[in-house]
Amino acid sequence: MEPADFALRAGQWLLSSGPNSDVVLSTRVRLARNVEGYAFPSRISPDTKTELENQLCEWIRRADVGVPIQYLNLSGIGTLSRQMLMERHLVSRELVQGEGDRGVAFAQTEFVSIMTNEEDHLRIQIIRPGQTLDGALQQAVEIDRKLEALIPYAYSEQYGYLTACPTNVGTGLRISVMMHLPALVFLDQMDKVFQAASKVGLAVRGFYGEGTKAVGDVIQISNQRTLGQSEAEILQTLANMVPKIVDYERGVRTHLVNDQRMVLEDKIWRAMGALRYARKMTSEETLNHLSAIRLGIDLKLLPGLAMSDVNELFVITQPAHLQAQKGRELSPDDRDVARANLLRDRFKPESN
Amino acid sequence: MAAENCESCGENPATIRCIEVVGGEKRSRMFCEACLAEKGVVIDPGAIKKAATQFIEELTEQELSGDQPRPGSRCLGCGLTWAEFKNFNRLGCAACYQTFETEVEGMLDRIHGGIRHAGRVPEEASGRLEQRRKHTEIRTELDDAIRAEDYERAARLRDALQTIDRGEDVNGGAS
Repeated sequence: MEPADFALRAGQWLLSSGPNSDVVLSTRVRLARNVEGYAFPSRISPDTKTELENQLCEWIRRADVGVPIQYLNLSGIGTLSRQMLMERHLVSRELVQGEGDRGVAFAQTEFVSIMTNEEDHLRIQIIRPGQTLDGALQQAVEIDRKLEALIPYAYSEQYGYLTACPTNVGTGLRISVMMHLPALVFLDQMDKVFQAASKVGLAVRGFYGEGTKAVGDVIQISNQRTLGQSEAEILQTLANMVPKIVDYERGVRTHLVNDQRMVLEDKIWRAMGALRYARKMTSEETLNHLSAIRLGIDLKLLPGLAMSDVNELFVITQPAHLQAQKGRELSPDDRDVARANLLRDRFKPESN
Repeated sequence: MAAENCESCGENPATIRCIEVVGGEKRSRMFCEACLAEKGVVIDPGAIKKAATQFIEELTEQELSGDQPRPGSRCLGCGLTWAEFKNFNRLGCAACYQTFETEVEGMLDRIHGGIRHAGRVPEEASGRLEQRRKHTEIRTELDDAIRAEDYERAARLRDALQTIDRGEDVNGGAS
């Protein structure tokens, strides 16, 4: 499959529903691993990097990770394709902006992706729809065990799995739960979420990860500690916190429907108006309107629309996806026009 | 100490302490800069600053000469210096964790609130740990056997130890 083939479809993890998927978009588990005897990717020579990439591909192929996967070398594909992989959360910004031989092995469902020569030699990632903490961690560990049987990992008894950045050392585990919190944002309750999260050592980030803001009312909540706690303890911290935020968001949604229905309906229908009739729309504006629509669907204010269709638009209205749909590079202005066209088509009144 | 006035003019605040040694007796006197200059003592603030800096540098170097890497010391594994790490926030290789142990541990403690791995252990490493544990166990038994002068048992235990050691060598494991 070429990246251009998925220009009009999101990954399965956004299309399927999972536990609490009215609020939890996805659960992502990532393990950082390095190979003993090689410098970390930032200090490796280009030749050794190439040699290691080949070796890693061979190991991944032989490990039989349980699902059919394909491998893409990022230096062998165009800028647009790289960007698309990032918009789909299959690769990180670090990998896209990196140099030399590096790549990603991923399953067709896009539940599994394994990056090579990123900040660390290997980044094993599982993304599942909804709140699927146990399932996602289990699958990541299973794949890790299979790789571990072949790969001599850089590991120390004292510090655990050794990583390029000390923020990942130990378990090398980062669990991120992506949540859609339009009601909490609308009623200005996000500060409470930030405070509660940071009190138990969890970090809150925007849709695209580190250093991004919460556009479209989507946040990612993840563990900061990777050393001194077991995988189960890390998971438990999130398993305790996430349902509380889910309940909080649901409670506020109910309050909005019961007590501020007209304000809520007005917000949702204004978003619908813009999506149906606007001629130009930026990514950020799109995400904010889609967020309102998603809320409207959940509260049964917009019958006839499917949640998965809206989730999909979160991905395929992004810059690289739009350009892949058109088959050429577009200026930001042209992208805004193409985006509005796509949205008008998806939200046209007859289709409801 | 309360601000004193210059012993000479009695007007300006005294900023410099002079230690006079007269006939084996030490006497501390306070002057202002102007009066000292009249007495022919010129104070160069730059020189004082330089001396102080040098003094602090020497102290710091002494402190660093223990376990800590001196500024500019490089990781034997990849050549990274601590200054480079501070700029880039990435260690260069597994050996950096030993090279910069003191700094890294301070950092890990701040970030994670702990410096000891408590998570999964790779199977290969857990095999090694198990071997080491068994080694210690048999070693203790062996000591007991020797103390009890049970030489037959001791010989058996010594063979067992040798088998374990050979196994470790074959796997290239740590001793």
